[in-house]
Amino acid sequence: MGAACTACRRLIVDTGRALSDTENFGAQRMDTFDERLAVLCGLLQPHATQGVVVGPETMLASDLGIDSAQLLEVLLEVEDEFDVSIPLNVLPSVQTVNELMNELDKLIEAAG
Amino acid sequence: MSLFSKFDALAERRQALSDTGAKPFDVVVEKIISPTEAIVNGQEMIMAGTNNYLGLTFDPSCVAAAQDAVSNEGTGTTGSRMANGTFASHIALEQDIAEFFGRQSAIIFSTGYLANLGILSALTDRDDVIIIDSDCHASIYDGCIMGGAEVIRFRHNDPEDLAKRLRRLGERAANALIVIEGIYSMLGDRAPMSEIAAVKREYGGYLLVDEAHSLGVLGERGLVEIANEHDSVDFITGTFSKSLGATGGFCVSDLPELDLIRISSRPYVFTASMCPSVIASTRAALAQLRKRPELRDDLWRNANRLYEHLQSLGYELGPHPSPVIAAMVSDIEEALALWTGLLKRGVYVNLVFPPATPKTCYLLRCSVSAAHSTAQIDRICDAFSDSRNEFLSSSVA
Repeated sequence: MGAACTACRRLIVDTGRALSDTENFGAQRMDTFDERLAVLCGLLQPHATQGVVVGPETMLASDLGIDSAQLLEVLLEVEDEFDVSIPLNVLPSVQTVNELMNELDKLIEAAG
Repeated sequence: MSLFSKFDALAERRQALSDTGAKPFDVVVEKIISPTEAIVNGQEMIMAGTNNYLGLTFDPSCVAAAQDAVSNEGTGTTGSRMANGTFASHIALEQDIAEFFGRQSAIIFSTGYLANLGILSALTDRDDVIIIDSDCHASIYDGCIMGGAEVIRFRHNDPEDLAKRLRRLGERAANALIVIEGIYSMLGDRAPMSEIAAVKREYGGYLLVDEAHSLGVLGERGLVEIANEHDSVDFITGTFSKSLGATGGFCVSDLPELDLIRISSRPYVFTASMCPSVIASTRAALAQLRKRPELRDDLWRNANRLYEHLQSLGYELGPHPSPVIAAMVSDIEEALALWTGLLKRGVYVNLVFPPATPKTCYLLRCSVSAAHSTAQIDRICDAFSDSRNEFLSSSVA
């Protein structure tokens, strides 16, 4: 996971968006959130439309080259990675990678 | 931006499809000749996508029962059981179904879709968790959404993934509702019933099995019966619209609380009840199902024959023979060419598009009937073979 994390982190930093999205968090949380976000971006990157670098503001529906059913399949991988189950109910309000990460973060925190 | 703007992308896709000459949404069945034959778009057709598994739609006893009911009780109930009252025949069918499944009670619904919608939406609310197989039917997804419960999917037919998700729930697992199907409608594969029942016994919770496509197909009663898991299953839902050749749905259970669904389920309370003729033909079909096990023999002989032939042609199919046999095609042009080729050769099958399909492929979905003759099955096989050859030669050209 380490190598993937480093690669993804670099991608995110390159977009220049990740840090500004996460700097409002406390230092410890920022590290944790940042690392999780990098892992999430790494999982989604292979499914992105050509030329799209997955970052926090990436739109799940339009920037990934997959339909809603394929997205659900990708989310199975995401669930395995973070050892949580994402309720279908939250998905209608999730549009960006960052919003997905926020939902994942709640589930991870709830699981302790 | 109009009210209909949200449909723009859908309309564009439909138009693109129509421009190819294939019009799967414009099929009109002009005359029904028999359970397996019809006139479609002016052409005589072998119907191989009807879900008419036992071929009972023209059974003389079913037709006569429906005719008698129309004569004696009229054409419809004109309202819900809650408002207009329950007919004696509603109760008789519920008793038949409960006795057939060996369960304490049964509730019937106006369609199979409404059975899942009515049961799932009433059983659960926002404090509950439902865990469903990812390939479950839309009626199950919709019932879950309507009830407002937390809905979690597990990987299709993967008991280990189910166990993992129950483990993550901790104490909440003991009250979770697990939902699977006997035979899955798109690929015809069946649930690993005993393994899933074992997971349920380990973690607790309730188990609901939808036997819509397996009633009268796997044994008399479906997957739960042949897997000998009666005691592990809390609810069975199903439909009268497939093996019983009518319309309507049901839920059976040994839990006495099932009766409370009648006053709490909106899809039960606020819709017109099953009409007398449909109840009568359903009861007659159930009697035929029990009296004539040879129908299942015919069904499986046909299913095996078609499955083996399509497999020999190199089609990717579901994992094992079943009355639902779906050829998976990854390319839309090939799918449309094959479907059109089949229609041209007098064979009607279902053309199914993603995202309604598993694995995001296109499906040429056949459903086999006990009423198909061997000659008809062979004609279906030949049509698949010829359509494929035609497509391949046109691709090369």
